[in-house]
Amino acid sequence: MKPLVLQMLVIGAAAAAAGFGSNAVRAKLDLRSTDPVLLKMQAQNNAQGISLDDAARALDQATTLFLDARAKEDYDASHIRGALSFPAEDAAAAYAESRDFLGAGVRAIVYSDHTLQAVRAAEYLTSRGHQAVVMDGGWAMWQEQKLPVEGGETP
Amino acid sequence: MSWELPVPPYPRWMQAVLLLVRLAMAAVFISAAIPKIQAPDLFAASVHPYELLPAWGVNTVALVLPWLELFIGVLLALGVWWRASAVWMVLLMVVFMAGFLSATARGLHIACGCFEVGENAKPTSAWWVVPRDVSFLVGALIVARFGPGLAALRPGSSPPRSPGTP
Repeated sequence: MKPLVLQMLVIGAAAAAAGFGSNAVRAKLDLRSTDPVLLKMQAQNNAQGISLDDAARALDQATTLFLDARAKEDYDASHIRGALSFPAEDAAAAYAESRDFLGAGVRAIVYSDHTLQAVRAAEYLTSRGHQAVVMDGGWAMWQEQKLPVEGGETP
Repeated sequence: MSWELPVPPYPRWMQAVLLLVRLAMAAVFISAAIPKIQAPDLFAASVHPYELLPAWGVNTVALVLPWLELFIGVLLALGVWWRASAVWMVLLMVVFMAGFLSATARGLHIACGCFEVGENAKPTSAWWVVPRDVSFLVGALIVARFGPGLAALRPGSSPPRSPGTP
């Protein structure tokens, strides 16, 4: 192999090692992240995210509560199995209704069609002392992955 | 196997010019790399809008590319493996321009993510990005073709004279 090509390969390999190695130590970027808006929000400490895989694994855990930040009509049409409606546009009323389910140790996983909507709902909860994370990929990717849903008319 | 690369003995004024070009290209890549290394998540958020790569590709680029830029910049500054670094830089500039022109052609009005990430990254015009990247490309080509100039730690050896060369 020519020295030039060899040197280029060494530089590339060193960069890959440094990139993945430093991220393994600092954990700045979840390799499963798919949402640029959520990435920005996380970087600015406006929200904490959770990958779709991790959210799906937490689906039936007693310490997890899924909250649907979309409009109530969208929630009624279909939503993640076990999720409660928590429209970001009417967070105060939604909070009053779901507060009893948000006990100590319960983590809310908030999702929506729009990241900012989910972030707003999660912020509302965290500002009141609850744990809330935003699900990467949102409702669209949950459906795409054919993960459990309920509601709407059964065909 | 020799890792040294041949460099003709240019006059001193030309070596000085090559040094300036090499240091300028090094400064470009080092300054581009640092904010991205500090915030790979924000850099990933800048790569997503290009809509060219799947999410795993975006995240891989966000982690590896900034370090590649840093290593290229440092090696150019030191004058070590300068030709390999310059050729890397040429390749990257071609990819960057192709990516940005492709995004522009698809009607995307996005920040290029070249030197700034996060809130500081504003949508960029191709009229600014392309000429700027062409100038970097030319700089990298000059170093790759003509050598590192003065003050390189590993300047390379003179090429063997071929028969008939005056």
